[in-house]
Formats: sequence, C-alpha cells, structure tokens
Amino acid sequence: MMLRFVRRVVVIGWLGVAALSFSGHALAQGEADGTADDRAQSFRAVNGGVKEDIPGGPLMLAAYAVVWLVVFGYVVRLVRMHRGVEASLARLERAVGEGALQPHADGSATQQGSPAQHDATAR
Amino acid sequence: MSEPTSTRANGATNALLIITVLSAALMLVELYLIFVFAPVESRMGIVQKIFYFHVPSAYAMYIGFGVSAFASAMYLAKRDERWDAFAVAGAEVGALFCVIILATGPLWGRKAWGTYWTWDPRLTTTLLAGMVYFAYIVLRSFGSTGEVEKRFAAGLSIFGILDMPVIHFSVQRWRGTHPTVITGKGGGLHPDMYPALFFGFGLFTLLAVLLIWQRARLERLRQRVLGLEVDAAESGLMEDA
Repeated sequence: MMLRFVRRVVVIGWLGVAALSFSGHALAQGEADGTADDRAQSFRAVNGGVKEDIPGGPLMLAAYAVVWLVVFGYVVRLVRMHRGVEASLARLERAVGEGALQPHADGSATQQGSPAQHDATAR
Repeated sequence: MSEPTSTRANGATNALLIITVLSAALMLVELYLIFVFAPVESRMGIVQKIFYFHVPSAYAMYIGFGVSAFASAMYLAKRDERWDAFAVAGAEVGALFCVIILATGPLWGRKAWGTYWTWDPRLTTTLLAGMVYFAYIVLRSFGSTGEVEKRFAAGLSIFGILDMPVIHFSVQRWRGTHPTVITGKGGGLHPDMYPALFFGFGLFTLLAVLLIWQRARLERLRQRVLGLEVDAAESGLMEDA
C-alpha cells in the first residue's frame, strides 16, 4: 500500500517536472538581459502603488498553500505511522498475555517482558 | 520500567513540546514580519514574499540531508540501530523540504523569469538531490528490516550529501538565472527584509529539528516493535508475525 503510494508520487513528480521544463524552456532562453541580472542580485522596496503584469498574488498563495499542505501531510503521515506501531504493540501484548496464561509442560507459566517496557526504553 | 529511562523519556517529551510551542510562536511572528513588516519588492511585487519560506526551506533541507548522511556514516561504522533511525528521519525531512523548494521556486520563477522551470545549475542540482534521497526513501520502503538494504541506503545517503556543496556554490561558480541576493556576489536586501529572512531561518531550523527528532523516535519505536514481533514469533507466541 505504502510502496504503491510512493511509486505514484515519484511518477507524478517526474511527469510534472518534465511538463514544466518543456513548456517553459523556450521562454527562458530569450531572457538573458541586464534587467534579469539586476533582478537576480538585489531586492528593493517598491515606491508608490504596486503594478504587476503577471498577478503574483495567486502564485504566492499557491506557494504558501504548498508549504502548509506538505508539512501538514507529513505530520498526518507520522500520526498514521504512530497508530500502526500502537496497533502492532497491542497485538504483541495480546499474544504475550495469551502465551503467559498457557502453562508449560513442567507446570510453570511463560515469562515474557511487557511490550510496554520496550516501548518506554525505545524513547 | 526503570526510573532513569522514564525520566529520560519524559525529558525528551517535554523538550519536544517546548520546541513545538516555540515553533508555533515563531510562525506567527514570521507571518507578521513577512506580510506586515517586510516591504513589497519593487520589480517582482508580492510574489517575492515566497523568498522568506523558500530560502529557509533550502537550509532545512541541508540540515535533513546532513543529519541523514552523518547518521548513515555512523551506522556503517557502529551498526547501531539508533543511527539508522536518524538516517531515515533526516532523509525524509530533507526530502520534505526539498519538495517545498521545488514547488515554491517554480511559482516564483513564473513571475520572475516568465517560466516555471529552467535547467539552471542550482535548480538541476537540487532536483538531483531530491531524486537521490527519494531513491533512499523508496529503497527503505522496499525492505526496511534487511541489513543489506540498510547498508546500501546508508551509502546512497552519503553519496547524496556530495551534491549539497554543488547546490550551494552553483550560483557562484556557474552563471545561471537563480538569484544571488544573499551571497557575496549579490546586492543584498532592503534592510526591512532581513528580519523576516532571519526569523525564517530560525523557524525552519526548529521545524526541521522537531520533525527529525519526532520521526527518529517513531522509527526507533518501530524497530523495537519489529524486533519484539520476531522474538514473539520465534517463541511461538505469534503465528502471523
């Protein structure tokens, strides 16, 4: 399940980068002038009103949305992984509990450490 | 549960909580500095504000990949699972910030360059680093418990870190279109833009530390549970382990 998701993300990422590069490459070739150099080496504050030919607002909003979504998505992934580990731990506790109740041939019970102890030491 | 272990676990949890609260507080300050304090840039307009998250993300990426490579080297030297946990955590968090860089950069480029992507040296080398560490993550998802996979992945992480100096110095060594505003060659920022940038560095450093630490703890826990499952299966306590 996880592997399929990772593969899908890698493939979609590759296709996205390829599409962006082919669509924008021609435009980038013709833009090596003094203005571009100047723009690349210093940022200055605006004087008066802001006039933009390409609206920057949606681009900026998209960028900030990406940042929040990516970080939030990763936190959700961590929470899901944590739940998976907790489920495994519960399964282990059940198995160890059942095993401890079953007497051995010599009459003694199985002695196992609680997984909760291992949980604590892992931290 | 021994008392020292419990105390250490509680101390780590408290430290994580403090970093989380500090990150949240710094995030509010950072948003204020970006959108209220820092002026709008004269030629690019409001889209330049991407810069305050984009550049600190690059440093957070360096931290993540650096931790991964260092921990991988330590794992190869000592074969200690704790180092492996940090290697996985660093690679994942570094890749997370690499995604942010590769997503926010083109959105800025659309306005500044008129195109989303160009094969500029810095963009290309950053994409290469992302691919190396995504390969690491995919490799670990194939077989995270095998010793051979772990060693191979460690080698891949160390190989990937060689790309970091290339990324960093690419704008100085090779002529490209990527801005060089905060390097020695650049003309610098408006004085009111620096606070937002420096707060951004602090915030993203904290965020990277927080995520790496949390992910490493989780990986360590997962390693222990996997080990216990194997022990339980060998003892005949779990048939499906």
